Amino acid sequence: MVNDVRQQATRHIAAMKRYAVALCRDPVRADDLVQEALARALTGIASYRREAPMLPWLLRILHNVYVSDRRRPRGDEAPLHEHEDAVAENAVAEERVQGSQLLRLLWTLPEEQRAAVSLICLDELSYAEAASVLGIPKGTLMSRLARGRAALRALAEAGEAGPRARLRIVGGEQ
Amino acid sequence: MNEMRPPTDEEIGAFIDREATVAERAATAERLLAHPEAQARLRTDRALKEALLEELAAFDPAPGDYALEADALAMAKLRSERRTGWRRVTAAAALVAAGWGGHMGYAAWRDSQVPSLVEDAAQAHQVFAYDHTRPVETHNAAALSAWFSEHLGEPVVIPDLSAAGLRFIGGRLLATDNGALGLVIYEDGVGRRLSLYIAEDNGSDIDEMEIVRLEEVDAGYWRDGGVTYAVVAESSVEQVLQVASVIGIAPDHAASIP
Repeated sequence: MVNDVRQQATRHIAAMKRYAVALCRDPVRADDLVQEALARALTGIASYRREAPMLPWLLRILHNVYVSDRRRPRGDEAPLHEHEDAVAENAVAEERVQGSQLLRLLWTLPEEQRAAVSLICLDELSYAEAASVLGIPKGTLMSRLARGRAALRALAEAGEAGPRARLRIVGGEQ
Repeated sequence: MNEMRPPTDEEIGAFIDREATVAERAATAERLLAHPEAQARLRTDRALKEALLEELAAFDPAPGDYALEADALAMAKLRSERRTGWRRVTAAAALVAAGWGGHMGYAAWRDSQVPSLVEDAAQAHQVFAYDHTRPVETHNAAALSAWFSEHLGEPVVIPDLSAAGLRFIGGRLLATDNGALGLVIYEDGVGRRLSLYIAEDNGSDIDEMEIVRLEEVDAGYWRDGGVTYAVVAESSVEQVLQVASVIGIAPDHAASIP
């Protein structure tokens, strides 16, 4: 069972990392977040129901780790420029962040909207599953998602290149 | 058609995210046709979704970036904090001090390695026993018993240690390199915690009870009926031995120990 969980969890690590990056706005700290979430998942397999999909369960743990870490006075929710300083320690990560104009826009959204938008953008969760990750009703998820998307759209459109040009730039860098 | 309201952002979202039912999809499609400006919203939101996923995927980890041995991870922290190593002591004197009878086999100090199970157990004790936020997953002894039995492949009873002055707190299952390890935490009258570990016996050569000591932690371990037990406590060797005697090694088994 423990090994089953480990094997299954391995398949979801990329999605966990993607959500962690979106949440904590710092690719380096995102690694710590994923690692801690994996550790808790493997020691806490009691709370996993085998018939349930594993990814929402893993993401919920990750989200909870993020929330409880942030409550500590370590400045997880520090202004974005401070995060950029921290990120600068890792040149590779910094380069990626610099290239990610859209991520920068995502990171300016309020956390509730950012979480909803990024969970759905993973394209692996239903609305009900994403709502379960955040511990909120499906309707609440949908409205946060819609508000987040509207804000993102407005931000993208406010950019001087316009949304479509911006999206092309982003796509061209992949 | 001019009467038709434009689709809401939520309806457009459900359309993009394949959450809408066939009927809802058809209705949204109709509204989209009637409202070209909504079509632009749809295109933008869809493009944003795809582009965001691509940008987030740029950070995907390489295989092996993360440790998947959770306990190994937690324990690695401890190891780095206190690289003191095991110091084994003979517990013969303690045995006598505890008034512990000779009915139970006891291996005198020897040079063999401490089984990795016991190292895991002693370190897990330090990780979990005093974690006052969430040391255990369940406080239900029956559920714990069923859970352990399922994963350890042996029927496991959660021992009642009230005879040793210990109150049952709860337990959890841990993943280790050696397979599943059941952890049960007890507390004595003055708030000291004692951990009992139960693991499947993988043909270990622990024929007799042994006691080891690492800094403040005493650990006793033995094998009984397909299961290996380890008891870890800060308090005293006496307490470890007392617990072992309450759980008991089957008399037959004890008698067979040379």
